Amino acid sequence: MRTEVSRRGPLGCALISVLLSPHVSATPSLSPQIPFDASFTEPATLSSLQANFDELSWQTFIALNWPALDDGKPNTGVTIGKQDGATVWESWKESYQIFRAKGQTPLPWDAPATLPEACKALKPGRLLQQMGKVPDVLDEFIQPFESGPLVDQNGVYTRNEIVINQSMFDGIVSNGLYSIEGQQKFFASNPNNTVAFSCSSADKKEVGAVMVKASWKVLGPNDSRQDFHTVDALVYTPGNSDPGKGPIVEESCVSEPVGLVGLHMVHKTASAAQWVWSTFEHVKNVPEKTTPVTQRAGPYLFYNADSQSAINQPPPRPWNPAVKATPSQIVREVPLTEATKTLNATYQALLRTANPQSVWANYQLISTQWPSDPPNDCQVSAANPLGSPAPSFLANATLETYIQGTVPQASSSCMACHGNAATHVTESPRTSFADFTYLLERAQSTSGQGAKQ
Amino acid sequence: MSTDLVNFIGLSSALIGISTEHLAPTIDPVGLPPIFLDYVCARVPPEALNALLSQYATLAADHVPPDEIARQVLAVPGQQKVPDAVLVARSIMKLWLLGVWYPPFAGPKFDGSAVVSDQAYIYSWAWKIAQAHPMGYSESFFGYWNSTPPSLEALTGVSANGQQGALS
Repeated sequence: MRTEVSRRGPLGCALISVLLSPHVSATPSLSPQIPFDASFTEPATLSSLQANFDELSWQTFIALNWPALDDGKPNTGVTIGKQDGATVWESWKESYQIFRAKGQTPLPWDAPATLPEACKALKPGRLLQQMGKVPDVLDEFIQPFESGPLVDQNGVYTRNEIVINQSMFDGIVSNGLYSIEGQQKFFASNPNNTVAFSCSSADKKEVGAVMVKASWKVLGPNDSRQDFHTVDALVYTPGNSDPGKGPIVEESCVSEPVGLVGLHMVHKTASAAQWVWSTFEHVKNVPEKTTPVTQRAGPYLFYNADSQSAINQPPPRPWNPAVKATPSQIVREVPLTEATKTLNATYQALLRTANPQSVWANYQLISTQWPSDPPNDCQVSAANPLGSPAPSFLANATLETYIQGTVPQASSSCMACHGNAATHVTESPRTSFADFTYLLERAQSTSGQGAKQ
Repeated sequence: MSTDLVNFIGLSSALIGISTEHLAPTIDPVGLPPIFLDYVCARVPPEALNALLSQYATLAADHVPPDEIARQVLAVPGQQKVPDAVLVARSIMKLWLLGVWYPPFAGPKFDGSAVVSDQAYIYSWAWKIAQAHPMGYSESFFGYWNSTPPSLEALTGVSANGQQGALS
């Protein structure tokens, strides 16, 4: 967390040196161990490396969704999917628990989550309040770049959450990055300080920073819990009484079952200073754009073959999560590759060996974005700050619904987008660099002024 | 990789002074070289392109240094009309540097100049040589404009020594 962003040489050598590092085998298996990095096969090619990182994605998916003990650690006495239950990542800290009002210090890692008043009278559950990836009240129900909410076939908005693991939590807390003043102090205290979360290390057998972004749909009468990883959630809608900030919404909290429909997992590893961006979806989410309309059998969660609604268009404003909306009509713009489909089939079959009805076999990897020209010291290069992402574009149909595609600067690229993330101290590139996470922008002022400086 | 593509990359490297490792990295998610070659093949008479690639292959096989290869390929003897091969070579240089195809000469396949693709524009080499970024697209982090750009060598593999105006 304290080294300056480096300026390294031209592309080429870094990846090779990473590839020469020893790694464990990536044979498909069901393991609660979060992999420290991808396992690379020789000779390295674009497609072989993509396959290696896709394997990392599946192994991470299995480890993070492993059944958890009460303390959040994986229950190694059981196998994933025997029965659905709380997962490892669901014990991690949600952003609202870290970036608190008036920049208060986050509660300790193992402290229970605090609930809004509106939720306290309900039976305990997992708190879901975001309906987009953007944090504040104005944007609670939209996706990045105010592109709109995603509405399921029941007319209900999907809900999202972002959590981080203890390594990243500790990096934020120990450096005071959870408040605006804390960020200012961090950068002022040492002219070399910059935000740099820890990388996973196979040598040290340490798991570095990991972020998870999940999207959930409220399960309606036509949805079967057996098809989803399901959580009994407290679906919280913050109130808004200012018409200048959007529709008037009364604060509410409802206890409802929700099913997982999308999952980003973002892991900073020794071979990926720009992080590894893995994204999964429920297999029933949407058809691919290239699938002929007559072959879009479904049923899908976010597409109706009988609907005449325009494809991939957000609902009309105002966006009010308290009011039922016309279901979204979504297709996947960039189809899965054949290699990814094959890998998905392999892991889905493996999951079914533990339980033929495993809910986890209902999820599929969409793809993995990784830096093809990474630095070899886990520090970002100014000459190639994004590390030449592969593939160039990647979107989850539930989290980047309306920015799918392959248009530079307009379509979703995990690294290109998150490379724009900044801290609250934008006086120089050193201080503004937020290490590919927008979370630090959620820090509030200890004076009670939550707005960015 | 086809022989033509290998020769096309080698010829391009000699012409614009950027190494083949930079023009066509082993791990290349963008993949411009085959796109460029296909684009050129569709717009230049085969005999002109083949002559150019053959000339390069012969010189490279003789271990002629890249600068000398470029000098010979671009040479215009005496007061003669500029040979077609030289015109094609010049267009290939512009293609790599600007991401734009400028037809080398009028002919049946003459269809005007064009930006080859969004990626060709973004990753054309003029931007890195200028230690800048394309208009409308930057991968640098917030506030980069407040810092000295990365060195010419870091961006292109070419030392700034002796390069007028370049920042090392």
